[in-house]
Amino acid sequence: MPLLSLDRVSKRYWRGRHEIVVLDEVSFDLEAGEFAAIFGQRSSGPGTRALLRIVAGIEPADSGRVTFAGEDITARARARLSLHPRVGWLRRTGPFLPSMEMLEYVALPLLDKVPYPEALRRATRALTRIRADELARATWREMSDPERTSVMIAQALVREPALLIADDPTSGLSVQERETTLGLLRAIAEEQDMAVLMAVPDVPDMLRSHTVMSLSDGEMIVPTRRRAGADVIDFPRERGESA
Amino acid sequence: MSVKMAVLGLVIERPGYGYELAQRLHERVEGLQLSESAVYPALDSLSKAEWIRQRGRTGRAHVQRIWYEPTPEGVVRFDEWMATPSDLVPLRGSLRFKIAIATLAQLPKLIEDTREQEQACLDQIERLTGDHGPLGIGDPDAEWAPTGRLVLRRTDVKLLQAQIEALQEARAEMKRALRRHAARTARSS
Repeated sequence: MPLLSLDRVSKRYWRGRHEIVVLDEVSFDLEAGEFAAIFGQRSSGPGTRALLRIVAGIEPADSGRVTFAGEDITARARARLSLHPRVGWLRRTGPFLPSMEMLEYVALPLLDKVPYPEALRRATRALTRIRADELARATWREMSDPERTSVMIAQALVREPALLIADDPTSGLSVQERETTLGLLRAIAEEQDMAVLMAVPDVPDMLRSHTVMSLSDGEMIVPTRRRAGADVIDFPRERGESA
Repeated sequence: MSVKMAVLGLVIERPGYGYELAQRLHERVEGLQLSESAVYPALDSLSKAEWIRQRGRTGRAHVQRIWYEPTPEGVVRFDEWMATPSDLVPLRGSLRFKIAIATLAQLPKLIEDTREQEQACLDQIERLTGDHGPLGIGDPDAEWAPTGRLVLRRTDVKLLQAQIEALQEARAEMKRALRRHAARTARSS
């Protein structure tokens, strides 16, 4: 059974008198450990955002069904809108308190669940995993963009999610920095059997993913293998050679 | 083949003569690197196949205009061509011609074509994705080779992205045209 499964998920917004279909019966599956990317042009931004929010459980779908780890989260989202405990959301903003050190900031999502020292221990582990342990004592203001991205990945990982969601995680980074960050993210995903679903407006940044889907005008197009391969998805695959 | 079929489509749209058909083709398929004279061999070959026929001549003795009209077989052949899958050079190959000369009734099929081509682009991208190893930063000798491969790979994918974007935009416009048409029909009935 796939970790995440979307079955004909639709979402509409009203803009004045006009109805805009941002998701039109979108269906796809995601396996544990799979790194999937959604390409959407800027104009389909509302669609990709809605899709990520629906999957995370913070926005209800109008119709269709989302199953995550065997649980129907469409019903859950209708009852209460909050980030699913097993989903990590990669944020891009710094702490409210500018003086807060990154170790504490990374630990923040844990503080209502585990004792403070344990939260710090797990935060250290998350920072080490993303090779950013030297940033534990840094403040947001002192860090470069790639460093901030690393810290935010650590924060998204600290709850050890089964699924990590990222909306344009590498904007503002150089090509090499993007490659390094996404390569690391993929390695972590494979290591921990964590699925990643990320939306990126530029396909070359998706080269580290296992699969690329596209979303435009509410419609999602998926590669043939994904469409035809009913229940067997063979990945990681050998990498293909560039033409 | 595409030019020939596009000319056939134009004759089906309304009868015409060589120069006028060339003008119409240029108008419809903008940016086409094609000389006007390409229309004449197309007309010859269509006549030979009996997909079009001469309908009459106008003009004075030294500026003869031969008018062409479609034969029933030509109409059938054109519909067949419109229904075949287009080759994967989105908006450059036959799909480009089809979009330029399509009627509203043919748009749903072309919309489906854009979906198929987009999927084919995604398949190609998928072959280029994967963990293509570390970048070799720090090793002076190995430094450029992996980066160079990466740059090339990114370039290939960027081209595919441009194709996908063009297909998405074409599809969005075709869908919009159909919606507008449906709304007009609903209002007038």
